Amino acid sequence: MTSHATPPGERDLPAGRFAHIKGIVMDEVARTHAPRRAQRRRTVSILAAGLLLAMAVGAGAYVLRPADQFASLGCYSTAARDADVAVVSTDGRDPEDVCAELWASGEVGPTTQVPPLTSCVGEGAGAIWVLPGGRGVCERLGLQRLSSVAVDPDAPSVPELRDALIAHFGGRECIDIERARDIAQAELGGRGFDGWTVEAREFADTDCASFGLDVAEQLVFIIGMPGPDSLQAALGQATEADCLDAEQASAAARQVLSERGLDDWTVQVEQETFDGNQAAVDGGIEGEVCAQFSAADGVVYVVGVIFERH
Amino acid sequence: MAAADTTHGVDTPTDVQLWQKAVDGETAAFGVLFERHVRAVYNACFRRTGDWSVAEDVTAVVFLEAWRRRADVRFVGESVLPWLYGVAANVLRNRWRSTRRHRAALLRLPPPEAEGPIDDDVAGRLDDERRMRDVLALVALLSRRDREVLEACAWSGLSYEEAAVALCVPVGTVRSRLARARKRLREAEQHAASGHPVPERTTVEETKP
Repeated sequence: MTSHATPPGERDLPAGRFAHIKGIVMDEVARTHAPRRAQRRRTVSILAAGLLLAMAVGAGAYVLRPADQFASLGCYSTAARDADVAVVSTDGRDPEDVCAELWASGEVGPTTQVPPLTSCVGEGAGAIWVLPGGRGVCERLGLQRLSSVAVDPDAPSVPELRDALIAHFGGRECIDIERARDIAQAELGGRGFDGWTVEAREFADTDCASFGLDVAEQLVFIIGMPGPDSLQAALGQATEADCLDAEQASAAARQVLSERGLDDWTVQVEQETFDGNQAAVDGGIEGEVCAQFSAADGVVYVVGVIFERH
Repeated sequence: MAAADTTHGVDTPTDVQLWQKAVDGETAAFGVLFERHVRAVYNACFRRTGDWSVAEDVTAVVFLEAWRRRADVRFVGESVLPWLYGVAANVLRNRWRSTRRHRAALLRLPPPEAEGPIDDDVAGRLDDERRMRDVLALVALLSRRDREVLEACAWSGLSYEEAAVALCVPVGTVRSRLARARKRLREAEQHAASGHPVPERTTVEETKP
């Protein structure tokens, strides 16, 4: 160590400050103390709600039909649209049975006592919402009761199609768009999904195929995920290890662009995503707001996203 | 580093034991951990900020964050201090965000002037801050990652293994960053002694920490 880079000696906290700081720390410890397992459950539920939302607002909403064609469902902790919700995939069982099990294990609500449950056809995303409450609970939220919707017993199974596509696209292999189209067409044809189509969306040259389903539109859409050589992958590396704020992320993006000779690209911070998500975290959503990148048409967009901290 | 202590014939609980008690509901155990490590954290925060008052607030945030992230705790041997240094590094790296998260708690912290004269040498603290600003100006020549390793190893006295836990990097990375930091500082001092301007830092950082 050089002499000029030697810090001064250590000191104690002033006595008054020590007492105050310890006081607020211990107040917080007492206020927030809870068995960790219970906190984890809640976090999972909240994140799962985010997933459901992502399904709803994504470019190709994962729209589901009622009865045995649904591929996922949400078990709501209260009969309210903004309730905590545990989202699960199903194996074809009655959705109320699935949610009753989760209630009984304490995964959904504040109690393990299972309330009366009613299945509704969710709005927007079309997922199944299982709400606590009896007759009329769906209608009170402006939803249809699942049991009131006609079911086609001969319809091919969407969950089976989903699982088959996951088996193709869920591995490490990078599948290009043409092969992805062929795979999806073959699965649709072989399973009796007549009238369904395959559509490619947002696919760049360096991307690897993933997929989404839109049951209402009878559509398998192929979407591009960044391949290992893409700009998006390089940007993703910058946020892989650290939770970056907007300023740090902008600097990281500029460095990646510079390294790739993309000096004509610009970096644009979507500040409202940082502010809005931070407000959600401050309001009690567990997690922290970290930067994510999205690159398109000469612009790297920097957005703030809530991550669970681990 | 704090560990099992049998001085005076009385077993002192280790950090691991205290942490477990705190998580299991004996919250006073967290108070013991606070008392055990607050000085080290406070001084580490000062060395990063160069301001004793700011270091007080950041110290509070570090312990609030440590509790919030209690499921992520890691120990080196029996000590939680390296991990607390890591929490501090993260808090300082994202200070605006961490402070916002704990805004409600920090609002209950009265301003220093409300507590009357500091019961320590005010002039000495001001002198510390002047000295620390000079030191920080010098180490600003380093990359953030190299600087954090220098702070952990050279200033806070962590071993390579402890610094690796604190900064979530491999031990080999700690060694290489520390060597690079020291080399860079030596060069800077040589330039200063020769009267030549210190060259700007060229950004040569690992692509992954």
